[in-house]
Order: sequence, then structure tokens, then C-alpha cells
Amino acid sequence: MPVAVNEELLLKQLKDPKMAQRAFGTVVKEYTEPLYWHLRRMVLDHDDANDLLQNTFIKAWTNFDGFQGNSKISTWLYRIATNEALTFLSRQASTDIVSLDNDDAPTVNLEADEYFDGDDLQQRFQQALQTLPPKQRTVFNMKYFDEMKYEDMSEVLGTSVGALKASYHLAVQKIAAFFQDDI
Amino acid sequence: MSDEEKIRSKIGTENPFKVPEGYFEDFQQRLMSSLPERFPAEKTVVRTPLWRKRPFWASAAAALVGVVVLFASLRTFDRQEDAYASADEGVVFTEEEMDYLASSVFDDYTLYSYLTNDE
Repeated sequence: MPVAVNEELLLKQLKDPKMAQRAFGTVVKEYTEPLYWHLRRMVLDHDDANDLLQNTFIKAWTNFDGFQGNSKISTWLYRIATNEALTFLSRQASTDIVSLDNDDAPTVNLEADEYFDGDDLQQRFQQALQTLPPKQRTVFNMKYFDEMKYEDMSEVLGTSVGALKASYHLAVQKIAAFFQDDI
Repeated sequence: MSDEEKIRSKIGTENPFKVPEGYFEDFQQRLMSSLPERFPAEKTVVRTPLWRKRPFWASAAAALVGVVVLFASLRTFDRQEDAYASADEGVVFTEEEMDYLASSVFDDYTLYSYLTNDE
């Protein structure tokens, strides 16, 4: 998780009507990429990740007065982004259930995605990740790809460190089982 | 070797996803230009004159009261004129009486007695 330069000063500026927009520009510049990849790994599709990233920043901007400063800005942004993604996935899942009844279930088709550049093994890895429940997948991604500390993850997800460790361990087991013949 | 180590050695952490050319720069520009207003615009205090603040019905009521008072005053004035005129009727002073009245000092009682005296 990147750390903004002089977070205390940034917070002060974000509350000042004359400096807020410029300070927020610094936040956007700092966190656009890491938040995008966090969201993209969760929802896979570029357009969906783009929409969720935009929602995340707009929510952060409009609700900044409610930010108490008890956590880091990065933690707060990750929390908003994660909630956005989980809500999106939950809505998507309920749509899929309706679609399943219609025999028209959408499948993750990364082969046709022009913004996916992985080989066969990478595609299967993404398929394996899709078998995890969304929150467990989030835990796996944050630990495996972002190497986020459990303490930071705990703040983002509102889950105890112990539960996160257990969730990650279980996710690793499931992925390993998926690749049983390959690894 | 743990399961995690096996996955890391076999698959790694390479990012297989891509973004359109210049996506991040474009995104930042688009986002910053579409941010909604967070702080309410500063309000300039404009003092509204009292007559503009007063509701229409209050002005109308005040105008009506004015008209009523005006008519009532005119009526009262006309009645007083009539009263004076009727009081004067039948009382004709001779020139001598007028001189006498002018040169004399009466109290109200004396004057009343004089005026009501038929003789």
C-alpha cells in the first residue's frame, strides 16, 4: 500500500476549501494505479474496474468531511474501493442467478478480453480465483499480490487478523487443490 | 514446500492484465474535471429592504386600513361641518350685538344665557 507524502499536511489541505481540490489531485495521482489493480483483480473487466474506481474517488471526495483521520488515507480509500467491488460482485451474482434460470449464465471469458495478456496458466489461475467467495478472493489478492500486512487488511476489511490469516490459508489450499496436477 | 510457495514458484505474481494506452493519465484528468462541488458556495449577504420582505397580503391589508381611515376621517369632517352649520341656523346677530360680543368678556355660562335668551 503506497504511503502519501506528509499525510498530516494532506489531510489539513483536504479540509481547506481553497486547497482541497489540489490536494485531492495529489491523492488521485498517488492512488489511481494501486486502487485500479486492486479493483481489476476483483472484477476482472477493465470497464467495470474503471467505473468502480471512479465511484471510489467520487465517494471519497464527497464524503471526506466524514473521514475522522483515525486511519490512513490509503486504508480509507481501499475500504471504499473494496466495498464498492464487493457490492458490485454481489449484485452481479444475483443477476447471474436470474440468468442461470434463463440458461444464459455469463462466464468469465478472458480469452476474448483485449486487455488480458496472460497465458493458459494465467487464465486457469484466474479461473481458480473465481471459485473463491468474493471476500476470500479479496483477502488472497491483498496478501498474495499486494503483500499487504494483516493489520492493514484488518482495518480495510473490518475483520480480525486471526480470521484473515485463516481465510488466506484456506484460499491458498483451494488454489493449490485446483492446480493439483500442475504443481 | 508450502502450498503458497508452490503457487508462487509455478505461477508467480506477474500481472496479466493491461489497460488502454494512457489510461491512468486520462482517468486522472477526467476525474478531476468532473468532481462535484464539495463546499457550498460562499453566500454574499444582501440586505433586503423591509418593504420587500413584507408579504403581499400585509401590504394589501395596510392599504385597505389606510383607505378605511381616510373615508372615516372625511365622513367625520363632513358631520362636524353639518353640525356647525345647523348650530348657526336661526341665530342672527345684529351689528350692535356683534360689537357687544366683540368688546365683552363672557364666560361660557353668560354666553349661553345670552344666546338662548329670546328677548
